[in-house]
Amino acid sequence: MNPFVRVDNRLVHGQIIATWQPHLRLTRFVVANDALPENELQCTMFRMAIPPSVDLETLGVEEAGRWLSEHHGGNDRTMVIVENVTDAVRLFARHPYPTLNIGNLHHAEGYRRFTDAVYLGEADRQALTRLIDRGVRVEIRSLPHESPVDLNRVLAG
Amino acid sequence: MIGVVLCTHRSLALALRDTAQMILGELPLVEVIAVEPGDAMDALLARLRDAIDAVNVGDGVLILCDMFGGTPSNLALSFLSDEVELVTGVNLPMLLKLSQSREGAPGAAADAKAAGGPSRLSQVAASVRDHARENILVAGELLRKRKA
Repeated sequence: MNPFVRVDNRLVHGQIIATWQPHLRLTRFVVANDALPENELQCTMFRMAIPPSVDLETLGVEEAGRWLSEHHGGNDRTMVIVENVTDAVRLFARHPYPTLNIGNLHHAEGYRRFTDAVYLGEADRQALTRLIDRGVRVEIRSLPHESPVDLNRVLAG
Repeated sequence: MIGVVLCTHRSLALALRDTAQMILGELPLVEVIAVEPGDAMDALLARLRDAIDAVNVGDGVLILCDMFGGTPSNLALSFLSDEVELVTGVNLPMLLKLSQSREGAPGAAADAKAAGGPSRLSQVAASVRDHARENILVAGELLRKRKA
């Protein structure tokens, strides 16, 4: 089963634990972030925050790509979480995926607002356009029941 | 006096402080941080650091968050130390209890720690957690117990 790939600069947090996990009946989280494996406290905390029956892998981005390629094809319902668009692109290079969800990307100077929770800089928009050109469907949706912003349409316009 | 930082999703922290102050009057050394959807993580960390510094008068700081595993508690965890403790699942009984138990002689936390026992800060953290839990009740169960 293809993983559900999400860009969320808060990584594992309330929205993911309280809504996405039950909505998608996730059995595994893969947090793909280069700084995370060295941060033992953060890893322990994420482990405690998610339900005990759900697996958790905390890996660097490249390593996560390899890991996903090796574990591809099972019945696991996996959400992969990356911190930003750059890491989403790095992951795609290792392990291509068909859809990308953008959940939270905070505001920065010069960024364009798409929703209350998602702001994209020029470099992000270009990187996402390249992913779209390679066949990825990209949506902005913080919570499962929100109506998504279809970036394939918005960025083409 | 132990300093308090209320750090929650959105304006829950403000509402909790307002409500506690309605009951108890002005609460000294209480800072609030409302984490909003578009807030940048590094900016939130900086605000949290400032809030902790603002309420630490030498007796330590208790950060109260709404939910373990949420962004506010994820942020707060990086400040854990001998002087900073975190309790999650904040509710009104917890705040009311804390306002009674957080006063103490300046430097009392350091004395307790020097004596080898759990610090006063950890004791207060554990006691407000217990109090908050004990005050979550199902009223119907109490009535049924009384009748039995």
